[in-house]
This record gives sequence, C-alpha cells and structure tokens, in this order.
Amino acid sequence: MSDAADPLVRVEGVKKYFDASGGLFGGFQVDLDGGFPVQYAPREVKAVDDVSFEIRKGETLGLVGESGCGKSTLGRTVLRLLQPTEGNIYFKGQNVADLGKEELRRTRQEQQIIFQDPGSSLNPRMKVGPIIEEPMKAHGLHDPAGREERARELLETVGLDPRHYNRYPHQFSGGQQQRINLARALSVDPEFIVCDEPTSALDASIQAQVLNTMRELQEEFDLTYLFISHDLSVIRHICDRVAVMYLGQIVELGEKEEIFEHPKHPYTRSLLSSIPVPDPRLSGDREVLQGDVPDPADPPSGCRFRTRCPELIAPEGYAFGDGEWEAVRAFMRAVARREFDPDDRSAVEESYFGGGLPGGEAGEVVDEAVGMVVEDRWEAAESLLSESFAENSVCAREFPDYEAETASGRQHTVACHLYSDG
Amino acid sequence: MSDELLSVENLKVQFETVEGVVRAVDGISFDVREGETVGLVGESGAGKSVALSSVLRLVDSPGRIVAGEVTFRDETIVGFEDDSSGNPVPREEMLTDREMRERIRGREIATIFQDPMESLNPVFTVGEQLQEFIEINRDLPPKDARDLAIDTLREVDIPQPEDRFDDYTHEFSGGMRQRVLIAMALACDPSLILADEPTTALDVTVEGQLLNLISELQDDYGTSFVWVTHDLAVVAEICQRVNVMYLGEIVEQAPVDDLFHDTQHPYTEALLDSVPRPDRTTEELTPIKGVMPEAINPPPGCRFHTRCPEAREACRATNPSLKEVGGKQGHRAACLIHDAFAADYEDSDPIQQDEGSFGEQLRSAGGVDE
Repeated sequence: MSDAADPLVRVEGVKKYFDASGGLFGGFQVDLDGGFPVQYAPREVKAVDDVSFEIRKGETLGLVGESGCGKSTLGRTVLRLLQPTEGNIYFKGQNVADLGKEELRRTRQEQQIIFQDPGSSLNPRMKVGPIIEEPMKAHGLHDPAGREERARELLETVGLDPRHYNRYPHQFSGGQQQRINLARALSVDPEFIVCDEPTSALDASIQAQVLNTMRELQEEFDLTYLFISHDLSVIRHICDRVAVMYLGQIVELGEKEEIFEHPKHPYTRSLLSSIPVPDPRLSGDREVLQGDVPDPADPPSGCRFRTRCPELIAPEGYAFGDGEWEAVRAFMRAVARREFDPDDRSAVEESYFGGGLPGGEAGEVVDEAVGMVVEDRWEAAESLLSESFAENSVCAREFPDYEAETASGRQHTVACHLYSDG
Repeated sequence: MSDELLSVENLKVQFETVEGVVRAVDGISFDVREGETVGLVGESGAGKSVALSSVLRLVDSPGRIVAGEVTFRDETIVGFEDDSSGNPVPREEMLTDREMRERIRGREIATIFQDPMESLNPVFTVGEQLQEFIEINRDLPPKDARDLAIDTLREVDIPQPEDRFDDYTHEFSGGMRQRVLIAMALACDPSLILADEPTTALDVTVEGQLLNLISELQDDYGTSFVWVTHDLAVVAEICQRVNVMYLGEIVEQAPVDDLFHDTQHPYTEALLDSVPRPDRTTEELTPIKGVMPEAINPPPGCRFHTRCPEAREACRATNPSLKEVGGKQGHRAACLIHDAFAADYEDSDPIQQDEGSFGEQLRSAGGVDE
C-alpha cells in the first residue's frame, strides 16, 4: 500500500452539531436591548468539529478517545448514518455527503458497521440464518437458495457451526453473537467496515478470539476497518494507524508505533501514561490527567485540551522565572476547583508558592488573586487569573494544527502549539 | 496470622433455580490482612461478585450461603454447625441480621459497586445522601455531619465541594459519582472496603485518577480492600495478593509479582496471554478456546480441563484443591501438573480435543443438534 494511492475514504472538514436546546421554545432567547426582542440561538453540542483524515485501502485506522469525545458520532457520520452538518466524505472518490437517498442506499453494500452490544443489534425474533441473509435481500443479491448457501458459508467463515443456521440469537454467547454480526456485515461483500467498540462488551479471552477472527477476515476479504475503541491496548493490537480524538477533534494522527512509542501531543502522552499495565513490575507512579472533559456545547477557545493540559504554554508579556509558571498554573487550577480552605494568606502562599510569589507583573496579579481568595471571593479570583494568564496563552488564542517530524518520515499530524516549528 | 482482618474458609454459595442448583461459589478460601489490597480476578460468571456479597451476607434469594466460615476480626459473620439430624444450621455466635446492619455494614466493612447510579438515589441531592449516611452511622448532629460530608467530598477530589453538595446525581459525571461512593465508603472510617469492579465502567484517565486516589487514601487511613475485577492490569497496579477464580473456585493464589512472573496455573497463564498489551505490540493473541461452562453443570474433574491447553486424562478424574507450589511461601495453585499433587499427570494421555473446528458450544442447555 503506497501513500500515493487514492485513499478509500477521505474525510474533509466534517462537522456534526446536535441541537441540545430542548423543548419547543428551547432555542429562543429574549433580548430586549434593541432589535427584534426574540432571537433564535439554539444551544449546539459540537460532537464532531472540523475533522479531516484519510483511510487507505486495506488498512485499519484506529479511533481512540475518552467517552463523549465524539468518536462514535464520527464513525456514524463517515457512513452518513448521521447527516454531517458540514464537510465532505469521499468514499472511492464519490462524495457520500451529498448523495441522494437511492444512491446512498446503494453505497451501503460496500460499507457496513458493527456495534458494541452484540445482543441488541440482532433481532431476537429472527433466526440467525435469515439475519445474515437480510442485507443480501435488501441489495437484491442471489436467489433464496443462493442466499442460504452463502449464509451457511459465512457462519463457517466467522468460526460458527453452519448447522446453527436455524438457531435464535439468544442461544449464542456474547462472543458468538458478535461473530453473527460479523457474518451479517460480510454478507454483501463490503470493502469498508466501521467497527464501533466491537469487543468492549466481551470477556478478555473471548475478546482475543474475536479480534483474531477480525484480522483473519481482513486478510481473506481485503477489508478496510475504521476501528473505534476506548481501549488503547486493543487499538495497539489491531490498528495500522491511530487517530486520537479529544472533544470532537483529532489531536494526533500517525502510524501506530509512532503514536505509542513517541507520542507527541500532551493528551496522547497523558492517555498512554494513565493506562494500567498488566505487569506489577512496571506499574508505579503514573502521571494521571486531572479534571473532566469540558462541555462540548461550549468548548475552550484555541486548543480544546488547554484547560487540562499539563504543558500549557506560558502567556507572553510576563517574565516567569524557573518553575514560576508551573506554580501559577497549579494555583490557578486549585482556585478553579476550590481545592483548599483558605485560612490565612501566608499558608496559601506557602503551599502554592513555597519560594515566594513570582516577580514583576505576574506577581502582582497572583498577589491580588490570593487576596481575593482569602476574602472568600473565589469567582473574582478565578476570572482574574484566567483573564490574565490562561486566556493570554497562545494555546487559548489560536487553534493548533501541525505536521510533525517522525523518524520514519511518514505523515504524522499533531494539533499542539509545542510543535509550531516542527 | 496475627494481623489477619478477614478470613474466608471453604465458602459455598448456591442458587436454587428451576433447572437445578447453581454452585456459584464452591468452596473458596482466602484472607485479607490489615492495610492490604487483595484481588479477586476472573471472567464474568466466575463467581467473584457473589463471593464478595456473601462476605456481608448480602446474597439475594434464591441464593444461599450453604457452608463455610467468614470471620472478621473476632466476629463470626458466617458460621455453621450440624444440628441433631446432621443438617448445617447457623452457629450461636454468628452475628444476627440486626448486628450485621448496625455494627458491620458501612461501619466496619463498606462497599463500592460498579454502577454508582444503582447505589445513589436520583431524587435526593448527593450531599443529603452522604450527610444522612454519616448521621446514621456516626451518630453526629446534622450540622457536623454536613461539615464532615463536605470534607470527605474534598478529600476525594470533588471540585467546589460546597457548591456540588446540593447537586443531584445526574449533574455528576460517572467518575464524580464513583468518587461520591468512595467518599461514602470512607466516611465511617471502615477497616475493610469491598470494591466490585468500581473502575470498569470508567474512562482510562478517570480510572487512573481513581486508582491513584485510592492508593493515597489507603496510605492515609490504612484501610484494607478486597478488589473484584476482570482486568489484570488493575490487579497489577493495586493489589498485593491475588486470587484467580474460575467457575466458582479459586485456581491460583499468590503475591502479585509471583502471579505475573512465576505463574503456576494454566488458566492464569492463558488469561495473561489473551489480553493485548498497551506497552508493547503483540503480533498474535492466544485466546482461550471455548467459553466458560455453566456453573449449573460444571465439568467433572478439574473444571478448566475442557479449555486447558495442558489437559490430560488425569484432569478429567480429579478436581485438585489449592496446594502450595513452586516452593514459594503463599503461592498456591490447583493444577495436577505440579509434583505436589502426586497425580500421575506425567503418564496420563493428553486429552484429544474433540470439539472439531467449532470450539464454542452453544450456550443453551439443548446443545448441538446434529
């Protein structure tokens, strides 16, 4: 597979927003300061926000991220199970995003999806054989006898007994049900399968069986997978390239080994360092990412990860000495979380700025904020710190998007200002 | 052992169903010492959760503890003796339900479950629930209980605890709810916390935060934990000693380092080989073939022999119990492959795998129709 070849799937600037205002008049706002008094301004959740990537033929692209980062929404938007708000999705050079209904239906023959919960994606009233035949029927493939023959063949291909053709889904275990889903997806001979957490509901030993089968099938049928998972170990096992998502955007994309061995984005690094490793000799103190994912309806400006980033870049215009910026950042976080009980000024200064307050203008701001905290004016302190420091960082002002250097010279995208000259 | 906190001996729990008796926990023994974390690992259906709830006598009907001893400090939580006709009946010194409720649960032994929404009431605020729990269990007046509740929330790293006190559970994220449960468990300063997969439903970063939080709290309070999980990585991270369960039995029991680096039971070995690793790329996973049989009708002999790569004819005949193996203190395994069992494993024929190419059997009782 060469980089020059046309990709099977090309996603360009895809956005998917959901209206989250709720209720009949939820999106309306009353504004009495002149102009028309009622405005329509719905609250939008930016589930996927300006995402671009390519999937090459025959590869497995992993999509990894925490829950709520938009990876499943992206997976469904790529197949246009969800209508993208904006952007183009090219499948074999054809823009899926503006196909008509019937044309779209026809592309379904080449694109399939497998979901997380194997049980709920199988109709409990249908027998396994007819379940597998259903997509062939929908696309008018084969006659009834031919479909049955193919269904039995597929059962065997995915590692089930063809004699189970007349069984109901509840008679199978979770792992076997996922195999039935695989067989159904394969029945129309697709080229591209979106796998949305296909093994997350399975036990470790069963997960290994299903992952191995998926790999064998990929080789046998020359399949291309978009593999969505929150489990970095599974992603590392099965993928060729990996895209890391955070709050609706891809923050890093590159070859698997590159991502796991030389992660560049601070988010990827935090994610990797927070996974427990199944070896007691390797576990120890881990750097764990603090805080929660922000509200996707109101994401932070600039780099979306900046509110949790351990490597937030110091704002220009202040002269920070060694370690001073780190101390200010820790203090800022503690204030935002109301982490401590301020009794007196010196105790607060001692615990966050052991070696004395920073000098210059920065010191004056911190001094004022500490004063506010001691007077129990938390919100004022929080906004003062945020306006003076966090909002002035390049991370808050500009959206980062860079190509980074890699050892192998392969394409590697990192959305982080630390790599602005890379 | 002098610093032993909890001891479970030969515990058996059965569920009587229409189809027959399910032996969910079938004679397990383990102990927990002061200040340590003991793991209970296995796949779903191994009986880990049932074992854990029987420590607090919380097994629901039709489940019943039918035999065994559970001792916490000097109190008998579960204990049986034979009555005149030879049937096991609870012994005199076994704690009554009232004593369990008032003295043990929550105060001495607390629990954290996997799904925090099942343990929290959606129509009360988080603070109210925590405060009520503290008022009842520590006999504090409402004002003091509230202060303590806020302190505990701060302790488990809930941001802005005074404000969040009045929030409802749905306003908390999954990780935050689990923190509330940890706060609730810690609020009465118990000696032992039983944790049933508390981090399984969470994201890796949140799981990491909680694992760190728990080890910090353990250092501060010296609380012991029994940690039920299916995730070997979590075990490696936090446990000092580990029990591996398969189909209602403990098959291997070892200090954590020995379990991972001097594995003595083929099931543990197979489990370790079947998980992908985050720290290195594995080319090929070796799955355990087949699925775990139903506990209602366990295979004869060693229960793992139907899936075991090392199985021989001798394994069909004898069900080994735990014995010390490998010459290490406290490392026990239940497998005939070891000399300690003096079974004629070496001379026995390997079992012919007869399932053909379709390793997995249907899970319905009817089996395969030809």
